[in-house]
Amino acid sequence: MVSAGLRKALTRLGGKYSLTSLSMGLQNILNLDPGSILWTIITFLIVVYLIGKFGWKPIITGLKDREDSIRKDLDTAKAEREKAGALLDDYKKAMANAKKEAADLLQQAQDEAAKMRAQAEADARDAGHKLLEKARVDIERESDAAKSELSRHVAELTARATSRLLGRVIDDKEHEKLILDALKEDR
Amino acid sequence: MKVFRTVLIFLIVAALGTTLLMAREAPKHDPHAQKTATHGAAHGEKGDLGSTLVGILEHHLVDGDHMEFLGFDIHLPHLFSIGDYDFVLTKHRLWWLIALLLMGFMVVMAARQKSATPRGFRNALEGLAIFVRDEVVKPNLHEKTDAFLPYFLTLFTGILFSNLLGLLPWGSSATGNVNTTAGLALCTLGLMVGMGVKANGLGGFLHHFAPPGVPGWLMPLMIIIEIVSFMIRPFALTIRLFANMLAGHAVIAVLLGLIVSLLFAAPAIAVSVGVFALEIIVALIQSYIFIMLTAVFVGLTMHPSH
Repeated sequence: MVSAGLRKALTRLGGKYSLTSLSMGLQNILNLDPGSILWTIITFLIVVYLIGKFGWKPIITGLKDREDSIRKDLDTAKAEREKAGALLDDYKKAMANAKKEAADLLQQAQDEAAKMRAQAEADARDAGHKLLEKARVDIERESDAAKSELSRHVAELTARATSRLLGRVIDDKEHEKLILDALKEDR
Repeated sequence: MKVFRTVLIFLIVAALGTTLLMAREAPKHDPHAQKTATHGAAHGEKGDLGSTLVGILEHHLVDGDHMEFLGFDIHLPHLFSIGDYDFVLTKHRLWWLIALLLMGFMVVMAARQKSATPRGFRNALEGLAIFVRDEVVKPNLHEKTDAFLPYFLTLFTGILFSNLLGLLPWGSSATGNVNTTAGLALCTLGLMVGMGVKANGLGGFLHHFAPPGVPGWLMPLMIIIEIVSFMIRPFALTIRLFANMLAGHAVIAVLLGLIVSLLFAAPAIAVSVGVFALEIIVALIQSYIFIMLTAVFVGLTMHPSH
């Protein structure tokens, strides 16, 4: 039907022989021919079966496997990332704890050191005081001894001088008694 | 840039090949055609220019039992006869077979690649498979996607290879023949009916032709309209692909046929190279449209409520 119309149009258009022959020729691509249609269908379906089995199937399954493995890898990576995040948090916490502990230890050590220093200072001061006291006691005692020595010496000298003045020797006992009396009176 | 240059060189070579081929064959159809075509106006012989053009068109668009390859005129064999029907291996039947075999060979070769990171043609095929699966089959056939994906991929690549082979020197598009596209559309029709019956049962499938809520007196008309609208879908598929391929080739042939003197050569070749580039795009788009519509039609018969 189509080709008949085309033939008429082409015949009207131009050359009597040539264009009509074209329209005759075009018939074989415009007219339905069961042989060609069946040829197309049969070859196509065979190829669909064969290529579907040996061509597309491996490609599609390969594709799917890869998609699955990528999806799995992504999921795994996500889980790993979450795990790593948790681990990092733990480490951060542990780090903070350790820092705090270290700071505490340092503080404690400093406190202890300060205490020890204070103790040492106090001890030193005590010892100093004691030494000082002892020295003072010693000095006092020494000075007392010296005083008494001096007074005895003075008494002796005085006795000697006096005896020389008096021309006689007062015996020691008497002499001492005299002196001590005199001293007692002096006081 | 490299790809663009390659394509351009290919186009130029193809155009030159086509031109040379036409120059060769012109005398074959009419030994005096070229001479008279050039001086046709002076001699007032209108018909001869037409006959040259017709020869070119006829040779390139029309099916026949002989084909030209590398300058040889090959007569194709008569294969078998059923009753008084002679089955001849015609040019388009042969090129359809070549397209399928070439496509099959390349796909199977690509499928043999075992690498975890595909390269080359395998990579392209996987990209195609993902596109067809996610954009064409899955939105229409849902849970049947995996079962139908190989069919749609074969359909797409088969049509694409057939479309593109017609752009090669000495090549011919089997999809420029209404019988090839009718065969493919009949496969679509078979899928529509088969899957419709399988999904909804025969009653459900037939019920689809009698839509509910239609007054009784209008029902016969509605049934006829529904049947026609059902049948017209594969018919539209047939004509769309066939006409697109035929028209593209006809335009290129006619443009190159305009070369009646050297003056016409440059613009005619330039424009035909442009049309040629357009043809490559059309080859891709028409393959896509064919499978897209097939998926939509089959999906519609499977889920008529949508």
